[in-house]
Amino acid sequence: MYYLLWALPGKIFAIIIGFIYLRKLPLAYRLILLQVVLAISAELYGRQLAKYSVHNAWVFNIYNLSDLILTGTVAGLLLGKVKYASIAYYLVAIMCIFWSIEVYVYGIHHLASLFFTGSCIVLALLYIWLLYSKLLFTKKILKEPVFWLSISVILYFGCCLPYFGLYNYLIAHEYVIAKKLMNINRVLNFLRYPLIGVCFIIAAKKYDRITQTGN
Amino acid sequence: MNDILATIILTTLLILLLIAGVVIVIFIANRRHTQQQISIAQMQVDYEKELRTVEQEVQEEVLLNVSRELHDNIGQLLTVMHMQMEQEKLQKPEVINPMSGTLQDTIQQVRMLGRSLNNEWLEQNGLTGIINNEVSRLRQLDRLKIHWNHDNLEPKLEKDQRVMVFRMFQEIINNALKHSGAENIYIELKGSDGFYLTVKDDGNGFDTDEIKATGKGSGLRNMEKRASLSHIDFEMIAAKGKGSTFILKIKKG
Repeated sequence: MYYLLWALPGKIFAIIIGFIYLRKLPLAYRLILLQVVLAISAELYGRQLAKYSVHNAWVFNIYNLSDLILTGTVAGLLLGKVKYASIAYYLVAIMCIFWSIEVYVYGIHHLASLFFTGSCIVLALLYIWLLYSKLLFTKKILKEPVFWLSISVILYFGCCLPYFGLYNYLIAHEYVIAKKLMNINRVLNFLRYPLIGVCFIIAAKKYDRITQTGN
Repeated sequence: MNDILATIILTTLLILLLIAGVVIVIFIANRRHTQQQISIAQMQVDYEKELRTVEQEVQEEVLLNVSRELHDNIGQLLTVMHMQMEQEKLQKPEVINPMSGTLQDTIQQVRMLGRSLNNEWLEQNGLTGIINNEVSRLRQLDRLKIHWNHDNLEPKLEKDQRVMVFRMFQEIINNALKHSGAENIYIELKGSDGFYLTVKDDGNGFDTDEIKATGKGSGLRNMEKRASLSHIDFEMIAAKGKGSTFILKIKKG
């Protein structure tokens, strides 16, 4: 219950905002909204399985893959230039292959932490690149939805890296520490999704104005 | 156990710091770039100002030369012709008299035109004097009725502003003569409140938005730029079928 208290409010906020402005949001931000919906579904279903002591790692394995595909695709869409977007899509495809190998080798009930570590690096770098290429020459940086989205992704995936990199080791050898360190993920979850909500508000306003003025 | 905990927390914090660093660097680079853009825009404005000033100076120089030519060359020739006619007057008065009258009017017109092109004359007689001269010249053309009203106070304007205002006045009058189809022009000049000039006509008028949207009216745009360059407020009130009014006044503050 305590865990859900940290995990749910941010996601619910982002989903409400996302659905309010759904019509005004471009494709990239709609995909992010879909990712948030998948996140909350995985969260609730995973908790439900854990409650009945059923393996739930497969839920998070599938969710992590969908997170990489959606967030990576959005990076490609937002980067704009075909050359840059292609690099983003190639990286996502390579990580998908990596996921398949890890799941094949260790099984679906083993959290694919190597894949998750890799996808943390890929997504953090892609969004730093996005931040650099899109916002370096923009006048009002805080009024750009890309800024808030990039910060949320870089913050979450960047800071998750050390913990999830050692996740399986910790679960096997230092279970108590693994449980304690889960708080990092809770805090990051708590930060990531409200930032996405802010991104939806700004994106809706920006693209609605562009549609009205035709600029 | 505590070592692992500390290592993971420290690494996470380090990454957090790195992320903060990246964001700060992007912010600083963005700020620098924005400031650079602002200074480039300012340089462009300054360059355009300088260009317009030079343009204006060249134009005034050309007008001064034309004015001198009118006065010293054509004016002199016409005067000599008039003197010759006066000599012939005694022999054929019925032929010479009307011709002499027309010639006298022509000399007068050339003189006034020369004055209106000459900004030195503007300096000597002030804005009121030169507009008065222009009004007399227009009245002699007899194409429309001029209603000229002033408070006898010379507006408090700088030399460049006076020249610019007078050239704008000429442009407005010229537009009214060419395009408006007006029967009356109302000119009012006040020097009591610094400077206030209105030129109003009862002609066809025009749609200001349409003119701006279609890109026509380069003369009007030019006037706006000239006014801004000289720190003069320029206002244009016009509508189709309702005539047009131009207001020029000194910028407050």
